[in-house]
Amino acid sequence: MSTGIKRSLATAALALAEPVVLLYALPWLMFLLVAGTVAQRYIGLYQSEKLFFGSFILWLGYVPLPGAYATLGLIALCLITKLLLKSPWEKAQAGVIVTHISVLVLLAGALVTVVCREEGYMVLGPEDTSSTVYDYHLHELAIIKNGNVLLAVPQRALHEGAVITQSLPFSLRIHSYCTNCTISPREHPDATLRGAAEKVDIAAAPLRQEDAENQSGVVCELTGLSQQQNGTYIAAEGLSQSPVIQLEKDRYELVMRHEERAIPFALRLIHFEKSDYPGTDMARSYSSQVAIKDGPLEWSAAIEMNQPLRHSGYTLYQSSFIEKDGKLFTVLAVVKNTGALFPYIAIATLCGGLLLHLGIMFLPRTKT
Amino acid sequence: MRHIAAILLLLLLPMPVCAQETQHLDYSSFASIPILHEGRIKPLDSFARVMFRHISGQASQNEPAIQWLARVLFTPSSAMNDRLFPVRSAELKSILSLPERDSDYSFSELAAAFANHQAAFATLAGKDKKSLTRPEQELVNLYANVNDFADMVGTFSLLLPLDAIELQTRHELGLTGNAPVTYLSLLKIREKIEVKETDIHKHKKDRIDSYTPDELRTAKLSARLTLMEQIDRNNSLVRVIPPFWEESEEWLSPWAVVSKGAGGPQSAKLFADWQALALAYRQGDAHAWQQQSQALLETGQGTRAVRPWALDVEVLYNEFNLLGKAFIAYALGFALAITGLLRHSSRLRIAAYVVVLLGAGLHAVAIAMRMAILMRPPVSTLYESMIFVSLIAVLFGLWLERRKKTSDGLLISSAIACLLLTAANVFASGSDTLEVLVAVLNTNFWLATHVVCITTGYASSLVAGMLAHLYLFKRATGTADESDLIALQRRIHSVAFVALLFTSVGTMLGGIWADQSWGRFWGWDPKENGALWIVLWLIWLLHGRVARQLGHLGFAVGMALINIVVALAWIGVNLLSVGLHSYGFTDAAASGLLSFCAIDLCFVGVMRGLIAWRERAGEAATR
Repeated sequence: MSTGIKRSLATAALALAEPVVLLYALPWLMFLLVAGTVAQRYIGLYQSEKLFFGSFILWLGYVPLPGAYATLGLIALCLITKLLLKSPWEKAQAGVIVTHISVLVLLAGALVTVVCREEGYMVLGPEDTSSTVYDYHLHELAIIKNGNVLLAVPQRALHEGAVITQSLPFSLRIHSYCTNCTISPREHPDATLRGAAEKVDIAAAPLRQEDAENQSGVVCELTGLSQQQNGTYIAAEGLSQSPVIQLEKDRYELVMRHEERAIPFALRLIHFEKSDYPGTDMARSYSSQVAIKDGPLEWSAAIEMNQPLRHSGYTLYQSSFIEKDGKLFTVLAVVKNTGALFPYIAIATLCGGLLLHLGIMFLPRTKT
Repeated sequence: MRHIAAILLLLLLPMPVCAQETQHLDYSSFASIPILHEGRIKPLDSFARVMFRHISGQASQNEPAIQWLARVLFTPSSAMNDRLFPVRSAELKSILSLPERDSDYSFSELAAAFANHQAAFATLAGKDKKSLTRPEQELVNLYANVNDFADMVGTFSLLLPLDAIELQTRHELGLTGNAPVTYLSLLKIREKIEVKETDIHKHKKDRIDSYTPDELRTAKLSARLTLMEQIDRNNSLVRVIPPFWEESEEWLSPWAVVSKGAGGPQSAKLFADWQALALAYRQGDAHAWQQQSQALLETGQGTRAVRPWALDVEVLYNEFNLLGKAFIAYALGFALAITGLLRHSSRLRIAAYVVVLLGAGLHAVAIAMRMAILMRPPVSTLYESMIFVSLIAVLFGLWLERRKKTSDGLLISSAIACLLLTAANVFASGSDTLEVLVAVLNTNFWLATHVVCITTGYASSLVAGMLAHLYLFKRATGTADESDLIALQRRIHSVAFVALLFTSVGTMLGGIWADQSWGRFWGWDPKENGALWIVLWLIWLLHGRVARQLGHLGFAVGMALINIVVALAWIGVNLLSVGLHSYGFTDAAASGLLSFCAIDLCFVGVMRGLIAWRERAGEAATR
C-alpha cells in the first residue's frame, strides 16, 4: 500500500473518530426512528420495520438515503475508530471508554441477531405432538406427494418466469406471485385453466397492516402431464382447495402456506390453561404444560408468560392461544438467537460505565 | 344486552315510596363491604366513586358517592330521575330526540330515548370501536352507561318489596304475615302462578275485559315477574355475593346467583342480610342499618382472597385524596417560591421548601397505599407512571434545592408535579386508577426494575428540561449574572447525565424483559422507540457539548426541548394506538398533550428570540 493511500486512510479514520460524525448521524437516526414509529400506524409494524429499521438504503422515490443499518454501521465505525485512535486511555476517561464499549457490544449483538436469528411459532392442540415451526412472515409453495412434503419452494424463489423441475415428474412455471392476494370470480375462463383457476382469479393487493393477515397466492403453469392436466393452476392461502394432480397412484398437492421448519425435538401439549381475572374476560395468565421429546428422552415442563422454556439453543415462549371448536390451542413463539447474550453483557457494561463516569464527574467536586 | 324498553315499562308500574331521611345513616361499614368489580375485589366506596365518575363524568357531587350508590341500589325509583348523564353533542341530542338544555339528562329520559331505537343501538354496540364515527362512539358510550345504571338499579330488585301486591293477592297466594313480598319469596310459587296464568290465558285469550278481578290480579303479577326476569336475568354488574359454595374466585350478583342456580344456605343468609339492609335504609333505621352493614362487611371480609386491611386502606385512600392534597401543596410551594424570589425572602423560600416537602410526603404515602392495595411495585400503568414520575421529579428538585439554595429546584419540581398530576387526572377521568394488569405485565420483578428505572429516567429528563427552561428564562430576562448561568449550565449537564443513565439502563432492561417474555430484545414497538428517542436525544446533546459543536445556548435549547421529546415518547405514542404498550387514549388527554407541546415550543422559541435580541442590543451598545 502506498504511503499516500495509507495517509488518506489514516486521515479518514481520524475524521471518523470525531464526535461531530455522531452529531450528524444521530439526528438522522432519530428521524428514522420517529418516521418508522409513526409509519406503523399506517403500514403496520412489519412493513415499517423493513422500510425504516431494517435496510441499508431508504429510497425516497428515486433518491437513496442512508437506512438504519448504514447509519448504525457508521456510528459503530465512528466508535471503533475513536476508541482505537482518539480515546485518551486514562483514568478520567475510564467511564466514557467502558460506556462506548458497551454500545459496541450492543451493536455487535444486533448484528449477530439480524444475521443468525430464527423465529417462528408452533400451534399445539390438546395431546398434539409436533416439531414444526411456522414462520411469522415468509410463505412457501409446498409440493406434497402422498401426504409428505416433496419440495418446498421459498417465497424468494416464487418470481415470474421461475421454472421448477427439481424432483418433480412435471415442470412448474411461475406466472405470478403475490404476498397478499385478492380473490375474484373469473370473468373470461379459457381452456388452459385448471381447478379453482377456472372459476377464480387472484391479483396482488396492498399489504395488510398486520402481516399475519396477508394471504399469499401463486399462479403457475404445469407442463409435462397429460393434456387434461397440463394448464394453469392457482394455489392460494385464501382458497379452500389446493390444486391436486393425480399421477397413477401418486397424488401431488400444491399448497401455499407459511414457511415451515422442523426443530430437533418434539413437543406434546399436556395441558393449556388460560386464567382470567374473575368476573371479566381479561387474561390474568396463560400457561402450557408440555412434554419434550428429544431422542429417547421425554420430560415435562411448564411454559408461562415471562417464564419461557429453553432447550437445545431454542427458547419457547407462551405467545397466545386459539379457541377453535371448543378446544384451546396454545401458540408458542419459538426463537433461536445466538446473539441473545450480547444485550445482557452490554447492559452490565453500560451501567458500570455510566456509574463510573458519574463517579469521576462528581467525586473531585466533592473533595474540593 | 339489557332491555331498556322493558325497564321503561317497569317504570310505569307503581313504584315504592321514596325512602326516609338517610343522610344520618353511618356509611362507614357499608363503604367497606367488598365487591368484585373489573377483576378486582374492592370496597363499595371505590365502586361507587368509579361508577359515578364513569356515568356522570364528574369526580364529585353534593351527595357523597357511597350515599348515591345506596340510594341507587335500595330506592331505584328515586335515582332514576337524577340528572346524571351528560350529553353535550348537539348531534347526539338530535339522534336521541332529547330536549335541548344545558343540564344533564336522567336515566328515565335516556331509557325512553333509547327504547325507540333499541335494535339500532344494540347493533352499533356490537361493532368494532375503531370503525365508529365520533358521534357513534359517544352514543355507544352513553348506551353502555345507561345499561350499567340499569344494572345498578336492578341489582336488588329480586329482594326489594313488590309494593303493588294487593292484599287479596297475598291471600290467594297463601302468603301470610307482614313479610315483604319479593320476587325471591314468590319464586317458590312461581310455577303455580304461571300455571294459573296459562290456564286463564288458554280460556280467555287476550280478552282482558272478560277477566275476573282475581284473574286480572294473577295475570298482572305473572306479567310483572316475567318482566323482571327479562330485565334482570343477565344483571351481573354488582357482584357482592362471594363464592362460598365452590373453589371459585368469581363473585356473583344476586340475580346471577338465582339465574345460575348457585344458591345455598350461605347465599340465602346473605340475601336475607342484604334485604334487611335495604329495608333499614328505606325506613331510615340507623341502628338496623349499622347492624346489617357490619354483618355484611364481616361476611365479606371472611371470604377467601379478601384482605380486610387492604379494603380499609383503599377506603382511606379514597377518603383522604392525598394526591389532591399533594397537588395543593405543590401549587402553594410554587407560589411561595416565586414570591420569595420576587421579594428576595429566604423565609418564603424555606416555607416553600417545607410545603413542597410536605406535598412529597403525602404523595409518597399515596403511592405506598396504592402499592399496598394492589400488592405490586409503584408503576404499572400510564396513570401510575405519571404520579410516580412527578414524585421522583419533586424529590430530585428538593435534592437540588438542598445543594444550591436558589429556589430553582423548588420551582421546577413543583411545576412538573402540578402539570403531571393534572395530566394524570385528565387521563384517568372516568376509570378506576387502581386497575388489574394484563397477563404480560403481571410480573413484579420487571415492574420493579425496568419500569421504575425508565420512569426515573423520564423524571430526571424532565428536571433537566425544566432547568434548561429556567436557564433560557434567566438569560432572556437578564435576571441572572454570568456565574449563575454557568452554574445552572453545569447542573443541567449533571442532571442530563443522570437522565441518560436511567433512560439508557431502563430501556435496555425493557429489552431484556422483552427477551425474557417474547424472545426478542427489540421489537420496534412505539414505546420502545420512544424510550430510545429520549436516549438518543440526550446522547446527541451531551456529545454536542463535548465536541463543542453546541454552545451553552444551543445545549440549553436542546435540553429544554427534551420535555416535548419525553411527552411524545412517553405519552404521545399512545396516540398511535399500535403496539404492545398501547393503553388507549382519551381525546382530552390528546388535545392536552398537543397543547403542551405547542406552548412549550413557543416558550423556547420566544426565549431564544429574546436572548438573540438582547445580545444583539448588548453588542450594539458596546460598540
